[in-house]
Parts: sequence; structure tokens; C-alpha cells
Amino acid sequence: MTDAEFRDAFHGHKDVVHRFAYRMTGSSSAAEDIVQDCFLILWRKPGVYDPSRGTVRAFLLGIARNLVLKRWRDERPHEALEDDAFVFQPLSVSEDGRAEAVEKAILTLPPLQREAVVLAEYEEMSLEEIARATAADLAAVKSRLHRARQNLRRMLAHLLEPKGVFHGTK
Amino acid sequence: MEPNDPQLRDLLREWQTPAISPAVEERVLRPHRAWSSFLLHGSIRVPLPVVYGLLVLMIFAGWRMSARTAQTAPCAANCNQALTGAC
Repeated sequence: MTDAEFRDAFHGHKDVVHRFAYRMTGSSSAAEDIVQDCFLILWRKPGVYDPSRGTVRAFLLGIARNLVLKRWRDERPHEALEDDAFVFQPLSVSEDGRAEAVEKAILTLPPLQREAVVLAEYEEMSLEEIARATAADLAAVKSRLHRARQNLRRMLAHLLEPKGVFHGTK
Repeated sequence: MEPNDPQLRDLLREWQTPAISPAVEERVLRPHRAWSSFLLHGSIRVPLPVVYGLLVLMIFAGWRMSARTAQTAPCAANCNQALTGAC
């Protein structure tokens, strides 16, 4: 990879990687460290990127995802990445705004559910792309997304109308 | 996200992330500057043990040079002997 190609990749994808890392960690400094590490890996080992296996964006998000999960394991060695059994309670109605409530709810999700919802909702990646970036099979991604959506609906119930309410005229 | 839940989708979109700091660009792209720029503006980090080792070497080299000068000084002072090859 030439210097110019590396600069193009940085300018083209730094914001995507930063958004993902920020939504996964909830911390600006951690997100910026992850962006830096991600691109340094690309610079030092450009051979690890194989264009036939996906876009640079998906490749960088995959690296960022691994760095986020490594941090998680280092900081919380006894917590599971995927907690299927846990039932999330509605967030208490507070003075926080809607955006703050959404942030709190997403950061409460277990990491594997969180990455699925962040990649699908905010980065608009398809299920297949998410499966490739997270090295998971399609069924696992679908299941994580479904559980994440259920949990978010439960936690943010006070900001959402009950499902099935019909608005408008017949 | 399933397309049949636009209400949740709209709510989630209300959470925006802050912009990335320009300092990140400096940190990532700085190592790729030209060597000429590095020679003028670059800096390097040297571990303290290396600094201590270099100091010891410099002190030793200084001591050796001063000892050698002290050895040759009496001979050089005696110019007559030096000219006759006795030195």
C-alpha cells in the first residue's frame, strides 16, 4: 500500500471507524485510540486486507471490532460478551433527553448485540456484511439483532408508543 | 434492524456521535512524513538505560584520553630527547 493509498483510506473511512468505536465504547478517547490502532495495523500489515473478501470499510470495521472486544475482555474479564439470559428492565424516566436515553440503552446491551445493532442501524450494513465483519454466521447475526431490538424496545419503552397502535384514519 | 420497526429506528437515530478530533489525523499520518521533514523536525525517544550506558562510555573515553595525554606530556616537554629519538 502506497502512502497516497493509505492517506485516501484514512480520509475515506476514519469517520466510520470512529462512529463505530464511539458507539461501542461510549468514550471519545477510547474511540480515537481505536481509530489510530486500526489504521496503524493497515499501514504495517497491508497484506492482511484481501479485496476479494470485502470492502476496506468492512475490513477496518472488523479490526475495530476486534480491538473493542479486546478492551472489553481486558477491562471486564469475568463478564460474558453475549448474555442471552439477561432481561433488561425499562430505563428509569429521567431528566435525560431522548438521545441520552438511547445512548444509555445501547451501551447497556451486551457487546455482541451492541455491535449487531450499531452496524445494522447506524452503518446500514446488510446481514451478510455484518456476518463477515464479525466473523459470525448469518443465523447468529439475525438472532443477536432480534434480541438487541427486543431489549432496546423494553429499555426505551417510555419513549416509544406501544406496538400495534394505529395512527391515522381508516 | 428489521424494516417493520421504523419507530425504534427513528428513535435510535437521535443519538449522534461527536466528530473525530483533528489530533487523530496528526497522530496517524505523522509517521508517514518524508525523511527530510523528520531530519528537521523529528524527535526520538531514548530509553534511560541507553542514556546511562552512553554516559558511562563517554566518561570512560574521557578518562582514557586524559590518561594518554598525561603519559605523553613529559616526553613532549623534553624536546631535546624527542628530537634525538630517545622518546
